[in-house]
Amino acid sequence: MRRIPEPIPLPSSNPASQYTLLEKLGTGSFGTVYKAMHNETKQVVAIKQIDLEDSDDDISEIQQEIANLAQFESEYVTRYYGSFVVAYKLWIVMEFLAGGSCLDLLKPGVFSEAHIAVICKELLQGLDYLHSEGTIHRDIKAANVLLSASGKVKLADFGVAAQLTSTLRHTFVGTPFWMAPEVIRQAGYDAKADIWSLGITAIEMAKGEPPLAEYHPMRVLFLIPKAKPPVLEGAFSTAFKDFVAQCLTKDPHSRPTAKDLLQHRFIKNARKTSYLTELIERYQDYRARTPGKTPQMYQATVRNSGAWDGTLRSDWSFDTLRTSSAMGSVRSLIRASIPPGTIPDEEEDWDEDDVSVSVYEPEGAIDTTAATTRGSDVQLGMNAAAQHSTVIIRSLPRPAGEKDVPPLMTDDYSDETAGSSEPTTPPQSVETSEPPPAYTGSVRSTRRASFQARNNLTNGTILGEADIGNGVDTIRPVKKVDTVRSLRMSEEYVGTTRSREGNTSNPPSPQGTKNSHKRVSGEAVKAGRTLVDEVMLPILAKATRDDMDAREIESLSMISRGFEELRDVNPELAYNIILDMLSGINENSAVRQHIQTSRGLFPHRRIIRKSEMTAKGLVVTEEEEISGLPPSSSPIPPAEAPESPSRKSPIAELLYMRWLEGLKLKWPSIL
Amino acid sequence: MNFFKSKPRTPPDLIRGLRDALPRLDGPPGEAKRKAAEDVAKNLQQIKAVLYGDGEPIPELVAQLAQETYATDILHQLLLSIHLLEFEARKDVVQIFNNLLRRQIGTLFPTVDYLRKHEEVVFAAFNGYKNEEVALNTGMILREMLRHEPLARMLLHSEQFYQFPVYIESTTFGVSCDAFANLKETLTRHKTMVADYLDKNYDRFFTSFTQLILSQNYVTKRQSLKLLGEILLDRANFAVMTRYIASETNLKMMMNLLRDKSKNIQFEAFHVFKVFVANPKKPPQIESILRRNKDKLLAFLKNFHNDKEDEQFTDEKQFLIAQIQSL
Repeated sequence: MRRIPEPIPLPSSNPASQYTLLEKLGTGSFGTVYKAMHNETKQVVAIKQIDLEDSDDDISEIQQEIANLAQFESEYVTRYYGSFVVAYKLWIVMEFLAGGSCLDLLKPGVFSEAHIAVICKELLQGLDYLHSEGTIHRDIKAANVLLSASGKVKLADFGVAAQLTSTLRHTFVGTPFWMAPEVIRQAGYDAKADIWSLGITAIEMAKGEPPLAEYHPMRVLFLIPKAKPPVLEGAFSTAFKDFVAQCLTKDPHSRPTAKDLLQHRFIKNARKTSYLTELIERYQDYRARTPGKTPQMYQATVRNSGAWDGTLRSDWSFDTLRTSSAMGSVRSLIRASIPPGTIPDEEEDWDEDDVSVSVYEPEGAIDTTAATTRGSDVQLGMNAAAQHSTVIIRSLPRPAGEKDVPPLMTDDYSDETAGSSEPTTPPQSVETSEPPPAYTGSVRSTRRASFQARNNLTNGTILGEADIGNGVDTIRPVKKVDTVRSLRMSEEYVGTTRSREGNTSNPPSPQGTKNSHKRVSGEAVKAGRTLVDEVMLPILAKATRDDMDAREIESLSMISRGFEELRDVNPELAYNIILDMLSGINENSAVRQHIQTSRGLFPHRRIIRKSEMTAKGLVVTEEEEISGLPPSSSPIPPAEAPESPSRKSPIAELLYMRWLEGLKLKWPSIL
Repeated sequence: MNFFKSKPRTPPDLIRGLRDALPRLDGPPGEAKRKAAEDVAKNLQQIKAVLYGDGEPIPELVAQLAQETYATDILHQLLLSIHLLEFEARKDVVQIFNNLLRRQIGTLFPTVDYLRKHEEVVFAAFNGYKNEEVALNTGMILREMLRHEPLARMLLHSEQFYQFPVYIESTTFGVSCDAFANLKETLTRHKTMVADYLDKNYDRFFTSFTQLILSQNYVTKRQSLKLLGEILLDRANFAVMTRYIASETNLKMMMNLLRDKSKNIQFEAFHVFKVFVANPKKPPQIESILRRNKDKLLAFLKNFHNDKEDEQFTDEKQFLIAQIQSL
């Protein structure tokens, strides 16, 4: 039988009046959450408010979340009571869970293994329920795991849950660090994707962060499918380590199901949920000791969600009387809630630069498929007068996600706050343009691609920085990702970390530095380029294999990237550095000794080479020699230089000879 | 031999059990009612088990069960008493309907053929919107029905079709959106059939639809405006579009909506407004309004949603500017 009265909103002209907002609980990627009371039953509920005007998405997507939620009735899933619209905001009424999220509870410190076992067990039961209902959660992470006051564990935030039909899913969705390889690869995935995310969440609870947290989310998307799965390291029991390893089985077919994992010994030995109240108490102590984080009381002032009043002041001239708006009452209601003077006018014309008149052949209707203008690198222009004073925001690096401040607590929601408290970045020269101060994912800085753009089914969507966000917030669903172009884009982020200090990892702007180096010696320049293109990069590419550790892959990518940049910026320097490295090896007798014995390189080679040099050409001999080497990676670049003789162009041959001559001068002892 | 394992009940048994239990649900609360709910739930679960099977449903049993539902009026009864069912039982009803509706023998859909002759079942699903508690369940059933042209046609051509705006306007968000989704399904899935209907019932349809566009509910307004754009830009609806964009009233409405407070509504209005401007054979009254507002429109469009990083939108806007300039 049903619980007696439930705090369900009833349809009426003003359902908001059925609740009293008590306290702001936090702001997440999908909206602001309040603690509230249902006036009739006096029950405490959580109300999530989503500003519909802020999202370009089809509202039906949000409705999908709600329809899904309404299908669940399980003690492992946060209960949904109903939803309604007030002006531009959607209010979703949910069960209130006083314990907080696991991400909150992690703030005083990581969890013990015993606590993690309980949480994992409960999560597995929740996942088992969802999966049997044909639903994939797709966004399992500590932030989405909530605890009741008594320690009951519940899954929350079904913003991206999908109905699992018999076919596989392809939508690219989740939060980068927690995403399963098959989700990123878009090869089709099923409920097993949640199991992977559970494994990552287990590591998150044990370590405080998901694996690879130090990398930029764009890179993480590249690394997860490529690298071997993360491993739980440290002083943990073998049962726990094995549990995590099982969850993080790369091949989803061999990955166990939620049901299987409920039989795992790590789970079987888990205690009761009441044990988790320890974590809740610890967090409450922590909150009491940490000043400045008192819960914010709800302020009655309604933030004006759409301050785009009066884009044009003059009225249209129709010959009849001006049609009076049927929205009258709503408008006046909204107008009443906007403090006077906050209405920005969009006076400036920001368009002049990227206006290029496109040629259209009008044929009755607008052909909505024929769009052709060059993708100009238009920087995101923001109306200086309106909103904030931030003007130019380059779309590339931005100080993403300060890990220390979990997104639930950052208040980047209110326009007013962002506008007034943040220092303004004057629009200086573009080259030195610093990313704006660290307000994460803030209001209108990096906009997500529009719904249409993100769901371009023919070409696929290129995931941009703004879509990925800081890696901690959930990505909005994207139907099909343009994998090739997105990966190319992800290369921009090689070596980029989710920097906390802001701008330490700004990829160098090629334009800025290019002219500063006047090329002197053309030969060294050519040689440097050849050296990088034909020696360094191929070696590094070859050394990078799948199934390597993500860190290894990332280091190699960083070296590659470094050589590429150096080749473009100053090939001569690249050339000198490589040779210096060689002579460094040669001059360090211990190293040389080691190489001689372990790889049998220089001395023998040198002798053989010499003897054959007189008879035939040097190059030929060299090639024959080296081809005998195992093709695996060699730390000594020149040794592999002439590899793959068939592909060598005459020019490369010539350059190679020159290079050898240079080598002779530089390093007489070797030849 | 196992005496305790009861013989699985045959499909006629299951349907009979269900038909027997359903009327008993509508009694006073108490033991009898609880027992009835239990029987209903059990029968529904077993019916579901036959239809979905444990991996492999047995075709003979499925056929027998389907025949039995057609021979009785059980589908109608289920919809009429769905509000009396428990949470999980309602979900089972949805799954049973959906399975039957997808059932296909060659090119035939037997359940669809059955429903063509039993309109009352389709309208019972539609009437689910009168009860918020079950509306999401019946809405799902209706959506599955609307995938089939004969059933969508039945609803579209009925008088009840014009209840859609009422359901959309008088329910809470989730239900309202569900009703809207079904309205959209009715109007966009079977294009030729819909184009013909819209052409023949132009005035009545657009009078009703305009109410939605002028709704005070932000969500309704935004979604219906978007749907209007989709309908007009569909090639199948060319004749309807030509009529729509010849009307001054429609143009004025869109021009006013371009200046709505909501950015999203402005944006959706743009996608209807562009059709008026792009029309190579603008009727004089349309051209005259546009010409009279030429300067204002140019100034307006120059500042219109310049922060959008949507290439297609930017292109279209430039095209409109060029068109208006040449007036």
